Amino acid sequence: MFHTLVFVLEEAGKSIRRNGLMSFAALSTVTVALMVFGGSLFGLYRLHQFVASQPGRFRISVFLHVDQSRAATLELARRMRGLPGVESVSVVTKEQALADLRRKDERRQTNITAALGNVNPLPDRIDIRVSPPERSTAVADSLRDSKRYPQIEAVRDERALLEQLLATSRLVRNIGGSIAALLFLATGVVIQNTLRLTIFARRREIAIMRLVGATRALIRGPLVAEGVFYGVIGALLAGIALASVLTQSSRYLGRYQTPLAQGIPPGPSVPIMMGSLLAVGLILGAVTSWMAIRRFLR
Amino acid sequence: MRLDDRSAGPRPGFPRMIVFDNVTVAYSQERPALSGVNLTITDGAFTYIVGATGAGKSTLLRLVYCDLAPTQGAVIVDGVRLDGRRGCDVPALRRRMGVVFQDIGLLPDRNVYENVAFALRVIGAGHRKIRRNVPDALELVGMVHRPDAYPRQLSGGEQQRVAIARALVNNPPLLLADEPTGNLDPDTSMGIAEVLDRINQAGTTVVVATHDQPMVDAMQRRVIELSRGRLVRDEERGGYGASISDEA
Ligand SMILES: Nc1ncnc2c1ncn2[C@@H]1O[C@H](COP(=O)(O)OP(=O)(O)O)[C@@H](O)[C@H]1O
Ligand SMILES: [Mg+2]
Repeated sequence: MFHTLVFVLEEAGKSIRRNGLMSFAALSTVTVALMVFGGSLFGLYRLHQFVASQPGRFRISVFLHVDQSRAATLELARRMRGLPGVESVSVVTKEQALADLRRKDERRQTNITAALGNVNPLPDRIDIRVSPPERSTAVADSLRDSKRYPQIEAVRDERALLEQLLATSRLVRNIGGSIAALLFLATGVVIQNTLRLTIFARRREIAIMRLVGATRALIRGPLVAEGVFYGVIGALLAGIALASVLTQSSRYLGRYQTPLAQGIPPGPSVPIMMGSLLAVGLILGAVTSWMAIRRFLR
Repeated sequence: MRLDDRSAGPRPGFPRMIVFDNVTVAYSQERPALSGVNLTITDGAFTYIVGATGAGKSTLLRLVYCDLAPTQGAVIVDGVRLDGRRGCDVPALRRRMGVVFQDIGLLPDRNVYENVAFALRVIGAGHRKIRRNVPDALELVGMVHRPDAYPRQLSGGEQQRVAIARALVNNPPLLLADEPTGNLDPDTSMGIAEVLDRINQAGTTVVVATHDQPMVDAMQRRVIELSRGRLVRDEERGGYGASISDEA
């Protein structure tokens, strides 16, 4: 078993060295492809994290009629908790709203509350957070049905901004996903073609191995090992390049933290990225070489 | 009876290495490449298969190393009935035999030692077995003095000796050779014939399909002659035969 493993690895190494230029071309193509693949996947993941962190940012504010009783407000809040997609509901009473306004007055040095005298013209308000954010518009629309909710005066949601964000994220997801899928396929094709040439270059060895009683698995072994080599070493190089690019750029961007970027969870760590990329490279190499063997080795 | 049950050397209880029972091979609708062939080759024998080009010699050998299944009839090798690619365990069978061809098939980027060792490494042998068997095999074919030479540095006859060493390095009880002297001059061919004879003296069953009249005439061994796929002559100690010509 040990001798067989040594033999398989030695044969794969011989074949990689023998076709040096071609192996180099294959390895660099796989590296670049996996870099772009990993990069787009990383970008997609960050975008997903960003979008997932947005329900806290986008909320629906429901303003009740001013003459509603407190009991009616609480009853409505209770009903809203049961709506599908609603993650949390908080009641802001007209008194709290006025207090908020006073604090704003102080901060901005305005006099709105003073002008009101002793009258509180503000309504009770219910703030709703929806998850996932895609549902927010539908929830807001259902609340605008005045027959079902006669207590509600107005519903405000940040629909335009939210839709823009969601559209952008869909676009990036689709484009990035397609690019990633294409790159995955292209990488597979590159490995397959390399292995086809390897099988051709190894035809003498393969014929002799058959003749002297090699098992099928042993004939395939060096070819699969070569495919896995391209996948894994390509992933390793791509991971190193990607990690250095990302750490550099995040150090640079860190100085310009926008308010929008605050509160997004940190991205995946370098070891996790490296591990996933290696796993992808391993699977890619093994699967494509297996397919190449099935196609080109009778 | 399984192949691996057999220990090296002739076995008294089962003396027939190869049995053909009414074997027919038809590649296409035309005249079969072999028709109704019956033969028995005993353990430890030396047999020449002769006949004009296209007589069916290679087809007969391909049946024995299970590269081909008979259209009709049965082929039994070393006690195992071969039912074609699907039915026979090719790796196990080929570890019990060595095969040599006219186009020698050494690996050009490996030296003599590595070429012979390759056959052992393929079947998972360890360093100790390789260090023991490879020099023995090279000794047997008279190439032990040139382990570091590359194939391009050797003559055709020397290359064929290395190929024979590779076929024998695992000590198989059976050696098949298809036109082993096909590309060699007469003197070199006699050298190969002597090597094959020496291998047979050491107990290995040898079957040689050949065109090489001087070699067959000189050795005076069992001769089986094929003509248009039929077995037409089987002599215990014979020559090449006057009637064979490629125009037939
Ligand atoms: N793979 C094949 N497909 C079709 N016909 C074949 C094939 N191999 C051999 N033949 C035919 O079978 C006959 C016997 O061939 P072969 O066994 O190679 O003869 P020999 O080795 O005696 O020259 C010939 O007529 C040859 O043309
Ligand atoms: Mg032939």
